[in-house]
Amino acid sequence: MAEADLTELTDQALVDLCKKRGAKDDRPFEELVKRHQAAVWRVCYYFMGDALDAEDIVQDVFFKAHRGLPEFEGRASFRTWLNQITINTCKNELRMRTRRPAVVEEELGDVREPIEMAEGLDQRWQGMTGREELALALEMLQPDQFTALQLRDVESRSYAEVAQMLGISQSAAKMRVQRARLALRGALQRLRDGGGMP
Amino acid sequence: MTSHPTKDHLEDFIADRLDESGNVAIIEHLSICDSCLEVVDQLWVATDLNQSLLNVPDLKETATLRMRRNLVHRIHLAELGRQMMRFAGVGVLSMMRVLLEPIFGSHNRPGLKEDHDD
Repeated sequence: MAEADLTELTDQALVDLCKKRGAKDDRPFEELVKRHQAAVWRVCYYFMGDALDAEDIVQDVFFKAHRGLPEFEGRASFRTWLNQITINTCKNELRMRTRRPAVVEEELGDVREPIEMAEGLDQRWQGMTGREELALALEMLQPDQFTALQLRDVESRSYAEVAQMLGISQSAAKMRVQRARLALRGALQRLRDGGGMP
Repeated sequence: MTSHPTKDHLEDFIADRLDESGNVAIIEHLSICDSCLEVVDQLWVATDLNQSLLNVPDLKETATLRMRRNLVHRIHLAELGRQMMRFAGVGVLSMMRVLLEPIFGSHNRPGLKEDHDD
């Protein structure tokens, strides 16, 4: 199949081609990367707050997606599945970064540790920037809501396109976007009230 | 909800000031009424929350190409590594077979047919 034809295929059709051709042909997977790279980068940026860090994570995300593709069953849309990998990869990276200095602190003695941990938690909620708040709130959305919000409000796609990409009816897509907006507002409110994760 | 909600009502919905039953009624109405949906979309676009969703620097073309190039390189390396491991595994098995055959010769294994000249 010519490269021009690949752009016309749906995500699911490209996934099927990837599975069928395996390592013999990279082009279907490259088309998926081209299609979703900017969106994945944007989510990584929400979490990491740095363009270069986000770039590194994007590579990790697509590498994991490539490896995990044979297990992708298409129960959720490809984008929703990719978003889940993205969020988990970002969370793992942030967790690893916060763990690294903790190892050094352990050597300073057990007495200081609880105080520093408490300060860390306090700062986490009080000193959070708008971007960090947003990342945490997005993480609290259901995966399908997150994807709907991203497609409609960030990528400005029509409801018909959102419906097609999520494999649902147009009226369901409209409802899902509204639900996602409400859920995002609610999640941010909970964070600001100090409730944190549910 | 059969009649159209007022603009104030839609503003309350966008600001999450309605209770759950109010939200459900509006969401159901929006799923069938494009004119109200357009109003809600316009109200949402103007919110700070939507602006913060869009407040991300542009991804430069050079960065997208760099990411794709590095990714393809990484995938190829991983594939090469997998193939080398497979070859190494086959090599080790073949070597073991060559080394062990004189000790546990295949003609001594039970169940194997022996060649007879007669």
